[in-house]
Amino acid sequence: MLMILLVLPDVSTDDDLMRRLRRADETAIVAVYERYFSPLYQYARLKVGDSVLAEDLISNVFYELLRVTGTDSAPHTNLRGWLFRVARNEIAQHFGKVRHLPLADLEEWMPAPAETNPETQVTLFADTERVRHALRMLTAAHQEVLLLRFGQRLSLKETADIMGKSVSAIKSLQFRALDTLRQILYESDMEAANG
Amino acid sequence: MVDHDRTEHDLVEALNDCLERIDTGATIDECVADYPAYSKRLRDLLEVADLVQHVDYPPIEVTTAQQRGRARLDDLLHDVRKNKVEDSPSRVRFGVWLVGAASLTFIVAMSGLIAFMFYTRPNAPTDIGLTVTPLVALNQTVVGQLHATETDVARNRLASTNIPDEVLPPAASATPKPGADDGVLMRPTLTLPASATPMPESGGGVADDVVPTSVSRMEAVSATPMEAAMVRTGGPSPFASATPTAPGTEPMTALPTGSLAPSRTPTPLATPPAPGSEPLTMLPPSSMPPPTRTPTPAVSETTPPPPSSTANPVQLTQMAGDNAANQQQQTTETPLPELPELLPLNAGEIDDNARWDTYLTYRQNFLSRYPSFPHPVEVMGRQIITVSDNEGFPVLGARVRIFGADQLITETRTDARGRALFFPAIDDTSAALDNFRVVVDKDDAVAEFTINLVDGSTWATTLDTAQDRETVALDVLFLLDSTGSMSDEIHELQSNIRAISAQIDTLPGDIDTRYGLVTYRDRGDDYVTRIADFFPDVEAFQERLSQVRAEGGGDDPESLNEALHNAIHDVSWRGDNTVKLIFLVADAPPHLDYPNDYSYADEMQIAAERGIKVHPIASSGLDQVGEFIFRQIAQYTQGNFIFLTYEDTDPQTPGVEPGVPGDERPDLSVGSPEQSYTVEQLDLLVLRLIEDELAALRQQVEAQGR
Repeated sequence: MLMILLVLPDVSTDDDLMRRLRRADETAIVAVYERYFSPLYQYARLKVGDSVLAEDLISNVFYELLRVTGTDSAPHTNLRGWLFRVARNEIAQHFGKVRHLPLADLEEWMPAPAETNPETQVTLFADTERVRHALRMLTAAHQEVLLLRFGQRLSLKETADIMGKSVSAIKSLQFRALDTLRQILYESDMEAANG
Repeated sequence: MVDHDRTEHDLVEALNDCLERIDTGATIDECVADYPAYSKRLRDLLEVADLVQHVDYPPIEVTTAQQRGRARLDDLLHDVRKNKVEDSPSRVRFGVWLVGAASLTFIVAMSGLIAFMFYTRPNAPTDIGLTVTPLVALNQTVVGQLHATETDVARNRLASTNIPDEVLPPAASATPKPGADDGVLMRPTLTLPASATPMPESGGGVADDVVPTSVSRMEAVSATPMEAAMVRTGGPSPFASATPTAPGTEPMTALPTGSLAPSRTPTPLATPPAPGSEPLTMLPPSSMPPPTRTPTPAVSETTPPPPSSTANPVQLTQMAGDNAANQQQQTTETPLPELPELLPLNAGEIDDNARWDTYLTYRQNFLSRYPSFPHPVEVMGRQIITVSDNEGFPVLGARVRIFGADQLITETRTDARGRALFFPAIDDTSAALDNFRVVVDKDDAVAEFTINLVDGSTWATTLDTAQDRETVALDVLFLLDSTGSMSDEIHELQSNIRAISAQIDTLPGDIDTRYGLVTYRDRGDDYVTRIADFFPDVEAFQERLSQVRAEGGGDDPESLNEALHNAIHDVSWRGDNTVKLIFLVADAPPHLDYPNDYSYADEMQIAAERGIKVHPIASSGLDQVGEFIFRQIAQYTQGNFIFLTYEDTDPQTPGVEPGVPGDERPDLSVGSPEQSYTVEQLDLLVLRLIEDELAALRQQVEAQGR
């Protein structure tokens, strides 16, 4: 008799997963991994720029999750927020608290912009890799808020929680970060256009 | 009001509004149409935001990395399981044996005692076939079976939980149990109810592989992360292991339903505080904490303690019975009780002068970590000089001059407690001396004495002066970081300054209060500092404060050095009969890298010279360097260091997690757990600090203590 085994995805909610983590259910760890590896990896990859490093850092996040499973330190309010905060801490530990890359470095590695209509500023920005590089030119706080708010589409409240700031501070920070990113992209574009 | 300030504020709000609408399906065109004044800039920002949303790396890369990571995770889980399988059987077997032996001993002992009491009671019948142990019957679900030859009435009585006053002679109809000896106490058979999970046999049955079982089974197994995944065939032992375990790894014990299964040992933070520094006491905790967090609260009072090897045997039997009785319940899906949240840390307050040794340790640890820190300001060998009047009340604003080798070393002023501090090691000249001449004066009164460092560190003197304690002059200056991240704090002050003022007016005495304001940002922003000299009228101050907008500030440090200089030198502080307070509200340290800049280390010394006390109130986000600097300023000027956090761990607030691994926690010491304040209560915090200062004026020096 042919037996067909159907492996269904774990559709538990985050609350269910957190309950199971508190009970040290190892299947919950695996479910969390499958659900959140991708966004965490994207976040880390954009921040650190290196795929191997990003992979290692995110592995550390799940190691930490494994370590606290079944203990009081297991997440029990916001699983996604917890994971991103740990990821943030891992990256910060690796790189230090603040990274400042002077804008003078821009020329050295900024890829040439795509050929587009020079009258449409935003179109000139449309090269994904250029945007990624520009993101890494930002201060840590600016980069963070953009990656969380727009890269990962977290809410103001979630972002505020992860970054340890108020909602209004995040609003202000996202404005400044977008404005700075816009300037970086625009300036690099102008430099390229002027040869 | 500068138009540019309002422009940026409006843009921030407009941007946020558009982002929310775009999330619900609106287009950029539709959004910017509602903000014609900012449409171009807004459009650019929204389009940049859209770009950021599309910078994800290709799925193939992510999937490959995910698969590799999954393999690592599986290996790790396998290793954990394997280690736990090897360790657990002997521990569990020993635990089972020990508790079982204790239970049996108790049963036999109690049976003997009851029998003795029964047979030696007055008028005891000489022939009795009773072989029951009433106390055993107390826990019928565990014991379950009685071997008795008593009458039906006696049997019924014994079936209750009460110990019978007398036992009736056996009924003629009673059928002796096979093997029962008349008059001989029989050991009852320990029989578990049918629903209970049988105990594992000695030497038997740990499965080689982890078999995840129902949630209820997981509760009774140990507390280490993966131990709960271990399930032995036949179910878990309801008894705790008696083998001593390393701290923090105590196994979970089987507690009755409704209790909290894991032991409440606090899990150490990923970043433990430096040795000697006080752990962050959980207040009402970031955080999270940063600063942190207090141990979780104790288990509910209704939760019985877990059984242990030294526990009263009565407890063991009772709990064993409860556990067995609850097995039935636990085999069904029973919602776990909500684990209590960690207490939220909203604010901490430190008086480093009151915890001097702790502060010195913290300072030493910090400087060890940052050996190139530019402003260490040596405070070792601190001397406390207290000046009181003839009635024993503190003298405010007395000038204290310290001379060494006939040179003026330093000058300072007493605060509302009559105290001034002197730091002999602050420069090379004074560091080489042991003796100093102290001259204290105020108005026409002068006192002089000698400090010898060998003899001690606290000195008191009296000035023949009369003080007016009924009329008090109070100058309060708010030194505000007005960069973008400070909007909440600024808003709180704006909303509550009138209430603060009204409360001050109700304090005892005639208090003549003035309010001043210095706001600051950073070089390259619209302004570096803005000064609003003291307003005698709170309404005028309120009006000025309401114009402050939080904007600018790209990097973390700000121009605090210059702002502190302005706050001390460029406003009109009143004379020596004035309580002078600066409330510094900020979330970033000063720039230490600017050329041609003032130095906070110099400014704080000048503040002390002028009798100005600085209370730094650090908002969430301040890093360790910032904390150290703020605490330096507070300590040197006899202020308190307060920090606020937005890490709200109130269980009522959804979506917020307390501290997570790797969270940086300032190694703060909280002065008093009761003195906790939230950012919503910043106004109350300011008010309390002012009250404390004014109250000190009315309290005799002896009563204030050191």
